[in-house]
Amino acid sequence: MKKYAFNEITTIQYISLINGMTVSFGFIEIPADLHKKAGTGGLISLLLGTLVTMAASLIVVQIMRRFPNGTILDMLTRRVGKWAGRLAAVVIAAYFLFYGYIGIVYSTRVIKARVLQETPAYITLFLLLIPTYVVARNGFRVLGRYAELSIWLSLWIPFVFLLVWRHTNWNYLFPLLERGWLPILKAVPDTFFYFLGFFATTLFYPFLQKKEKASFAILTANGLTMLSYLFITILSFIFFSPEEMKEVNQPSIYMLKTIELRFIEQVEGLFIVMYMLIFSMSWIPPFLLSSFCAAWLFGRADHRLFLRVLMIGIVLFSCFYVPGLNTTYALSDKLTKVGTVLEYALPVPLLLFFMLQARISRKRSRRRRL
Amino acid sequence: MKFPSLFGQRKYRPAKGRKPAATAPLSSGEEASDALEENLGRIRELFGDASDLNVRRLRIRSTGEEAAVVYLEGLTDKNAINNNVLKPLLGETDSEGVLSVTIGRVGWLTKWSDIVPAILKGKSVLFVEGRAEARVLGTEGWPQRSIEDPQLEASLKGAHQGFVETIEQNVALIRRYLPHRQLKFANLTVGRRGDTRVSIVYLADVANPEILKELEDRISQLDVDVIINTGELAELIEDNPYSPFPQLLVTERPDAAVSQIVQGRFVVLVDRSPGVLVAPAPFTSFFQSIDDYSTRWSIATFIRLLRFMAFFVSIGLPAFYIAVTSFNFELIPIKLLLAIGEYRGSVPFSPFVEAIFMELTLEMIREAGVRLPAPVGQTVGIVGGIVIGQAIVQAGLISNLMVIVVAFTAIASFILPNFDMVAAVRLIRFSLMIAAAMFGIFGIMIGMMVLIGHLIALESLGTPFASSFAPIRFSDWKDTFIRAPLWKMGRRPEGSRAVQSDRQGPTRPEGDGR
Repeated sequence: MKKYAFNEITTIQYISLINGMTVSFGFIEIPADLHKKAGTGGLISLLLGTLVTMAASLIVVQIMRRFPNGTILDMLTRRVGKWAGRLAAVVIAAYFLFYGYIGIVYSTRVIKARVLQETPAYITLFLLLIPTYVVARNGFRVLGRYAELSIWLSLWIPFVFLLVWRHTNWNYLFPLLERGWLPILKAVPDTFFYFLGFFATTLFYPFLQKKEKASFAILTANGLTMLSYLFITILSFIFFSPEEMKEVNQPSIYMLKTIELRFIEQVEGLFIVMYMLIFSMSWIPPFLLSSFCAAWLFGRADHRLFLRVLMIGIVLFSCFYVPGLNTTYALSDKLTKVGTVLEYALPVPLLLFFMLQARISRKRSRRRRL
Repeated sequence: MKFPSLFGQRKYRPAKGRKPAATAPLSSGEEASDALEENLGRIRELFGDASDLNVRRLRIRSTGEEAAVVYLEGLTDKNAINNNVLKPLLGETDSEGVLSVTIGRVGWLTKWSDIVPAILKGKSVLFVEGRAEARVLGTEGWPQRSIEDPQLEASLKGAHQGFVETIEQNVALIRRYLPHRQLKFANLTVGRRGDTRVSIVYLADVANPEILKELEDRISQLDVDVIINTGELAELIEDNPYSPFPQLLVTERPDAAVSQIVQGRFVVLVDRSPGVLVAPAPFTSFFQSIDDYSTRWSIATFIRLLRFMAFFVSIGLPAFYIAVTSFNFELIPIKLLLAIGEYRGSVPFSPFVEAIFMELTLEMIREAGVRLPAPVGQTVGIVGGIVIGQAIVQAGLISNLMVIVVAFTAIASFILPNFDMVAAVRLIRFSLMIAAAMFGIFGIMIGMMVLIGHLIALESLGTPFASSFAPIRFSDWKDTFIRAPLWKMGRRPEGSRAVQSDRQGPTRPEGDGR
């Protein structure tokens, strides 16, 4: 049974998808956030958060391995019941819609603040929706290629940041445990926000070309995410003094202001615009996943109708209201809570349930044989 | 008129207000009679007063039968008819009572629906009194040009033979490079009225049979009057005809075509057209030129990279100019900005109008240069130099920098080796300029994202158009962005989905020293 043939995602594409979805605007936000919550010790929180995330994503892969030819929706329908599948479809569709919406609104706000000050926010948002539709209408295979290409085309980013290297001071980093271990541990759940997105595995899994490599791939993706966060966080921490860190908003962008190049006066504007490729990973895949779930719910193979409905909905809604940056932060706090439950907590009982079910059915069949 | 091979299954309806054509309806199964006069009468009836129809009556010397040779004057080889048909028939050579002529390709036909097209395609037909079968003689010989250097794709070191308008010649040109029994041909006919011969050439043990089937399906489903040129066929069978990008490569060079065949691709020859189609053609193949393989690999690599750079310059430079001069002043250094301001001070137009005006002028000059006959063509250069040059700057219409930008884009687009790709680049350039005029650098980025999204979704005969960078295939990079040394290219590109990918061994002789 190959329900989802033709739509294959290679391992590199899968890594890029998960990595792109998780990194996206976390790259801009994470240094300030970590510093606020745990000082320079936030680095340790980040490492611990990564470990937890890796465990959680392995659990997700373990769940999916039990039913390799279907998404989590097919799986729940088959193993639990029709309504469980439908409920999951509604929940996941809503979750990814929310996820993507925050992504696109955040990007809109950053652009509005730093590049297009005079253009109304909703117009910027419409513009962002155009490439979204062009990519997302073609399904997972093209999405995979897009993710791959976005990552490759963004490999210059670390090198730009290395240009600020001579302004850094390693002493800013110490003492690491200024406020003790407690704030560091407390900050761990807050890092989860920056790793949200690996749950998409539950929908990507049947499309993977090499399913046996899924665990390896998701660990690689998490590892890459951690590396990019670690890179930007350490760089911010040694670039800004602890006092400055408290003042500066979006340090990753602010840092670029010090770069002087012969041919470009202001690097940060160009950076934000070029960074769009990575930003877009925080809403193009979620919107596609959301419309995929909706299409599944109504038993249709073509997700495009739902994608169009979703886009038109966002356009109409945005005509009246586009959340400001502070509202977006508040919304992303909510997303963290929902996401922690859905992506980190829920898979554990689900896996236990499936293991139990498998054991019971095995026992039953053994008893029958006896 | 029922005449399936020529007119399809459509019912014959005489045009209103006009006299119906003089020909009587021809039923599909109608056969030639054994009476010579009856046959010739039918021929005259069917061809009307065609001025080039020639009916040569004769009496076959050896058997004494009355006969007639029917052919169209301009489409046949006179030499062959005189020496190889008429001479043997009128001479004493036919001792066995068989109609023997010294022509290679002969056959027997009985149905009018076969005989008439044969005559129309340049064969001559021999009717003999008392025989219901007609002898068809392959005496084709139409006006054709000799084999010349391909004009559109000049090459420094490549062969100087280009394809011509006759399919047999083109097949021969390909066979000369690949005298191998696995070189196979799939022959098809396209067109209700044109009966264009189309031939798919491939290496049977290398090329992917699925792609062949897809290609054959697409071509055989065509329902058109006639295919005049390869470009028409390309547009009809392309995956996405609404895209600005060509998804099939058209080349006039036999060496380029053969190089594609050995990479596991398919070449489609179209009779009467000097261009052949290469399919599937990924995006990167539009940046390859046959000279790349005969120059030193380091130079070829440099030129390849230069072409990709030129692609982006040609697409984005005018848009970038518009963006920085009307939106994103902060991007360029203050010194340069002041210099631009100085030049632009006297220009009455906005950067967008300025750029659109200059780019359109450039397009016009280019288009004029293409169609004008050579003696007049020189004038274009002189007049063009005034418009894109010092005079227009002195008149205060256009700024200095704009002229430089236009000249730069023009040169960048001249580097690209494929004409169709350059055309796509020109279209995209204008849309990016509009995006830049409306939203500055952000507009350009949105445009680029749409472009990327479009490019990765395109397919060429069911294989990804953006192959080798999305999906990423590092092994194919040896012959896309760079040109690796020939002996390193041991495998055929993955993008062509060849079933036998081993191309060559690492067979570079190392010399005696090692």
